[in-house]
Amino acid sequence: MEIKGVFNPLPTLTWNFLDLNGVGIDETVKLNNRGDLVIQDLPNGVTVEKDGSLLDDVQGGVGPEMENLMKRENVPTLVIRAQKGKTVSEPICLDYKLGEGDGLLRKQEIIAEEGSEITVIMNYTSKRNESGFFGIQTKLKAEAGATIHLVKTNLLGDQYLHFDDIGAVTADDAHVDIIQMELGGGRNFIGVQADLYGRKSRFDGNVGYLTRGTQLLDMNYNIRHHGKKSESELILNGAMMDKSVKNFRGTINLIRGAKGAVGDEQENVLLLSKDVHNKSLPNILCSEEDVEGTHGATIGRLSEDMLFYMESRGISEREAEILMTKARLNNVNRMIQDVNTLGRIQQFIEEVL
Amino acid sequence: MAEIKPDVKDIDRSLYDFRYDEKDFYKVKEGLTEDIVRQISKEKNDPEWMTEFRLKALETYNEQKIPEWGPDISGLNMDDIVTYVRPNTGMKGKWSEVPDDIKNTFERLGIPDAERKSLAGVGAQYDSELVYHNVKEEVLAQGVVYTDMESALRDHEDLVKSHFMKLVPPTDHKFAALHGAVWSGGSFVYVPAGVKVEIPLQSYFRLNAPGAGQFEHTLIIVEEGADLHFIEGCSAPKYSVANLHAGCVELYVGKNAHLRYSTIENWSKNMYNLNTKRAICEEGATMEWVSGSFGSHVSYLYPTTILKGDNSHMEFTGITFAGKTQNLDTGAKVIQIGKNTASSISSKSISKDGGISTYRSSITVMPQAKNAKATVSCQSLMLDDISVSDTVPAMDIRTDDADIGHEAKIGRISDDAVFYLMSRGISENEARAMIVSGFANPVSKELPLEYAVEMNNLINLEMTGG
Amino acid sequence: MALLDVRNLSVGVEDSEILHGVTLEINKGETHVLMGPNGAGKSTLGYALMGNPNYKVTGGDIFFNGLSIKDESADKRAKAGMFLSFQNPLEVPGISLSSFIRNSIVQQSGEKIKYSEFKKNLKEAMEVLSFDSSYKDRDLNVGFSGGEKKKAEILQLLMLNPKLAILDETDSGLDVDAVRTVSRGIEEYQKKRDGALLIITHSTRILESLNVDYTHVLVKGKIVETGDASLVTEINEHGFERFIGGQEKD
Repeated sequence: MEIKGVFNPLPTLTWNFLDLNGVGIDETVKLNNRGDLVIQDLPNGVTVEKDGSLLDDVQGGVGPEMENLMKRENVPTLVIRAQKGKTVSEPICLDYKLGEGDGLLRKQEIIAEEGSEITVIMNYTSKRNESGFFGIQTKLKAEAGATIHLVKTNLLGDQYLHFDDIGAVTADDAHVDIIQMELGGGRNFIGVQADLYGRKSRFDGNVGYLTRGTQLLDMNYNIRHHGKKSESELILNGAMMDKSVKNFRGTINLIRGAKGAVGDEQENVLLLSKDVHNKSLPNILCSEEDVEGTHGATIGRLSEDMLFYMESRGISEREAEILMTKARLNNVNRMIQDVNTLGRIQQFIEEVL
Repeated sequence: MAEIKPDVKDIDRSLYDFRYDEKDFYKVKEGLTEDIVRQISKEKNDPEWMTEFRLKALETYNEQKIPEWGPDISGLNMDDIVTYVRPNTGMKGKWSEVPDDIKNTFERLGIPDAERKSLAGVGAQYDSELVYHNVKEEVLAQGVVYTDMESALRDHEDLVKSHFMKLVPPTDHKFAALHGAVWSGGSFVYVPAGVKVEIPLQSYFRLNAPGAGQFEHTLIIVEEGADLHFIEGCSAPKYSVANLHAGCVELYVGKNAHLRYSTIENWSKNMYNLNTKRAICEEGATMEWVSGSFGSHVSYLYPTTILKGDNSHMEFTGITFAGKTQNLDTGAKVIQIGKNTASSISSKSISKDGGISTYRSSITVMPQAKNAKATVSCQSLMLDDISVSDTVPAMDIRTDDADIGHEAKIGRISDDAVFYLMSRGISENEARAMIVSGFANPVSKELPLEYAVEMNNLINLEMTGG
Repeated sequence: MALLDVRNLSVGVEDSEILHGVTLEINKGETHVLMGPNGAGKSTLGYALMGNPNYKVTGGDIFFNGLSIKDESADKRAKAGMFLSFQNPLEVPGISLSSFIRNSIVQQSGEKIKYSEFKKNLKEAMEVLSFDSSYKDRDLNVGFSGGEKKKAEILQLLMLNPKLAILDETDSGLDVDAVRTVSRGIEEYQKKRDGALLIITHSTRILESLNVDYTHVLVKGKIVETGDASLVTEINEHGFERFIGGQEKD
């Protein structure tokens, strides 16, 4: 399969020299449909259908090229649906277990019908040194008053090429809450677009990442406020090591008509090696008066004060860095309720640090 | 509180919107061809290397694409722009010798008055050429050179040749190339080592001819330990045809030197302001930018600072006010290379009456930088729901030895604040104007008094309709 | 041999010297109080002893257990048995109070401790401080009040059990009850664990229930007087006037 075009496009263009307007990719990968999907028993109130494709209008953050790719390859869609009014407390776990040389492209649609609540956890794992390709697209639709919690953990091998495209739409009073742990993979292209159409609808994004070795983590978040009093909060906590590269594009778009909308994004990056390359571009686009948009970023090493405090308790600089890295990731981890998922993440972190 | 918007009339620009005929003036034809460039070069008695430079820049211009990011500039047709308009006078050193219509222009703008009061030297450019230049005796006695670029090219050719468009090469972008091809006028300042110029120097740029372009070049060299404050002001009357300003400012700040560069830009609202400003700082040098952008139809303006030397630092304080028909894309860029460099950017923008303001910036910390610090703070105010305010700040950090903080906020005037002021007997319009002035205050307090007053007047005009 | 032996120590921050030749000896199990008016350099001494890199030793030396520690980083000093209670402890989101303490113990001793034993010790120490046990699972200092932060510092003191504890203004900003609780913790350290203390303070409330062996008065970067516990009472009644006046006569 050919992957060609511009991925993770920035919603508003800026200077070319920054090289953040999108990622040009032109390469061929082998799709062999290997890789296991394990779904646990379905809780009550949830249905899973195969071969639906109901949310084609929902746009993902990786961009139109990803959409084209899915169409061209005619990727089957798994539709997970929470029935109207049902609160499903048990999470639905989708475990994608990949191996050496696997090439897999998959798509899910998660629909939370009116007044329902659902939690979907998707784990991508392979062994540490394995290589392969894993592209995934997840579309979310939260109907009026519904809530979708989506947890994604990337524990892929260090040589994996990985695309994760998420698109979400909300109706009135709906809530989409996404937690992402980006820890594995060799080259990762992560894109999230949320269109908050509904009045008082809400998007929460919590992202934890750790980049190591020569990993590339390229992220594109595009949160679009259409609905009145819609709210969004996007928080990234990350640490970078070795020669890793991370690009973060985060755009909050407060569109005319979204009166009373509030959008906030924050990124905290801990830099742990002189060879890391961090790019951050937190945009706010605003065409409505009655809104609030904020963003903040802190990028740097462990502060001198913090280091001294740690050292005064007998913790060495290196240990303090590890401790602070874990602390950052914990801020995201602790939102994950599923013990198995959490255990796997923690084990992964222990292994790589 | 009821959603009452202040009654805003189109502002009274009579202060700036007057003009005199340019019937006696020498102009080149519209458009841009090799012949026109040669003609300009000949008119200006360029040395041969400069003619070559211009022609090479023209080639670059023809090769470069129009940027695909930023405001739309399709309304700008180079074939309609007159690149060179020479006023019917030579450069004068005495105000009384300047022709009456030009003199009247600057007098109405208050320039000679300001010179008498508070400036060490003044230059005034009218269309493509400087028409007046004067420097106080005591400043000259310190060895300071402040003259027009043409005289500098004649009298300080080596200095000009070794610095001209070295910081902003014509290959930088299409309008830098255009500038390289057709530049004319501008100021040259040389401050020798250790010299502190106590009061500011100022250049005032006035574009009078319709459909013309202004391409002045400002080259400032501040040597080791020297200190200078330079002010530029810009204005033009409004025409129905597009005018173009593609100036270039190159600032060389020597070891432990200090340069403050203040600008109040109030071009008329048919102006395409595609200006390039760049400074390079040696060890221990300080560069300060103060920038107010009020005029122009379209602006692309991002003063850039290269912190090359160890312990060098820069501060940028800017405000942009985008009203009706305006699309102002402004901000700053910094590249931190030396050890212990620090940069601080503070930006405010206001959008009103359908105006579009974009704050755009980049902070680059290079791998060899050690202990680099950078802070960015940008605040945007939306005054109605037909305007646009975007914030596009990039950070490119290539080492861990950096401490970067960034914060931005977009919002509107708080109803509570307006109500509080109104409860003390202030009308809503005035209350809003006061709040906007307060918002702009951190910038205006960085400006020399006359400019701060001018800026406040501009805000009041914009807010209350005069 | 003294536990801590500070010899003619001068310390500067950025370009200005704050301590000008401080000499001080603290033996095992002794409690010393360092008092002085604002700006005398009390906290500077605390930071310099613990090795804050922003505080540069410009002269003299510091010996701990007979070895010079002047050039050691703070974690080495902590491992050697020193502890500093911070005036403004830092907040660490993502790491709980208990896991931070456990981590510190492991780092300092270089060996794992049994979780059950750790848990028991932590519970006891928290009880001494009337510290609600739910705080052990909260992120270190995040959202703690001033008093809770100080309690968390003293909790770390009790758990890490150093040879010498330097307490920097541990009582400042605390109400009467909180001072009592915190000093109960310090008393526990002093009496039951035979710990040595250097208590930096500008008030005397925290000293009421403690045995004080020596009192030092620091004025303008110099120790101008050393006495016994009665000096505390004197300062309590008459302030620092006498010492400041004495300085000016020099």
